[in-house]
Amino acid sequence: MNDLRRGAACPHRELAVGWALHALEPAGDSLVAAHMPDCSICTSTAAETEEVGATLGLSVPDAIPNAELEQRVLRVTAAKWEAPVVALAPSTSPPRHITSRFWLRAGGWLRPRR
Amino acid sequence: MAEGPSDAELVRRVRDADGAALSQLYQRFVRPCYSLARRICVDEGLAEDVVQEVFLTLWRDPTRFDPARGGFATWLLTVTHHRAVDAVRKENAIRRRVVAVPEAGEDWSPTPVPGADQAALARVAAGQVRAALHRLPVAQRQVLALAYFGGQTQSEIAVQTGVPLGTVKSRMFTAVQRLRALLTDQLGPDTLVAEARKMRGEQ
Repeated sequence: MNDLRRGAACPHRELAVGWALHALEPAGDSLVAAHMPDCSICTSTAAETEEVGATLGLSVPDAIPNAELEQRVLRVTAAKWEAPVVALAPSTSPPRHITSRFWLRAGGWLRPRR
Repeated sequence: MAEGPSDAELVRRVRDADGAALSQLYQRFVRPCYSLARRICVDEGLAEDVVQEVFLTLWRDPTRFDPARGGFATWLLTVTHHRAVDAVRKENAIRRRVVAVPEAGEDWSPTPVPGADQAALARVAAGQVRAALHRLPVAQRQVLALAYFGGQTQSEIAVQTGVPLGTVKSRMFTAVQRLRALLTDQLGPDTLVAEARKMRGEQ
């Protein structure tokens, strides 16, 4: 029997349901997020609630996105994927072929995201 | 039934920066994700922004999906839901005016969306979930609707409905508990999402 049905004892399990449904205020959200790793009851409750939520999500009327959306998504992800692979990340100084000014302006953009 | 690699295998390939795997996952899940985002956001453009953000999240950090916690579809729809709710909260003043509190016997469906797929299997699955919802007491259905589809916090629901916060929390807990039991009885012994996807012809 799952944790929701057996009413397992943890004072935060009601909050865990609200957390999984993204229905808590920030303070409650932080509390549950900090509590979750130490509580198998709330972790299980949240997982079961997310599954119920996803099932609700599948019950909505089917809607078709604009065909352009796929290109948008692939364009954005490809930009990250094809970022120049230059060994910059651990260094605090720019490679010799990049000016300091450009280095500072570029911030993290030159660093591969993946 | 979907053919080819499993969702988990595709996610594993996304971890290796396989753009084709991401594209396959997009093809597989964009419609349920967009449909959910559209339902919550109402605005088409906002829903598309949400979906874009969801797949970008998957691409940037696929390790966020933990197979030990549940299925990929559950995770992706949960991320979609949370991102859509966040988007709605940013525009909450507009949104709250159009979220209706469901009454007994009222259909949960929004106004039919232009271009919506009327596939019979999807209707059956959605109908079963809605039937289960309608078996909940109105007060429980109300808090679940306001939270899940309306994007409201428990505190906001307490204010809107004039019910003590503690009661809102317990109603939400009980609603999920009862709905899970009802859906398990209706959809079968496998995980709820897998069963619902099968009935929609997605898996």
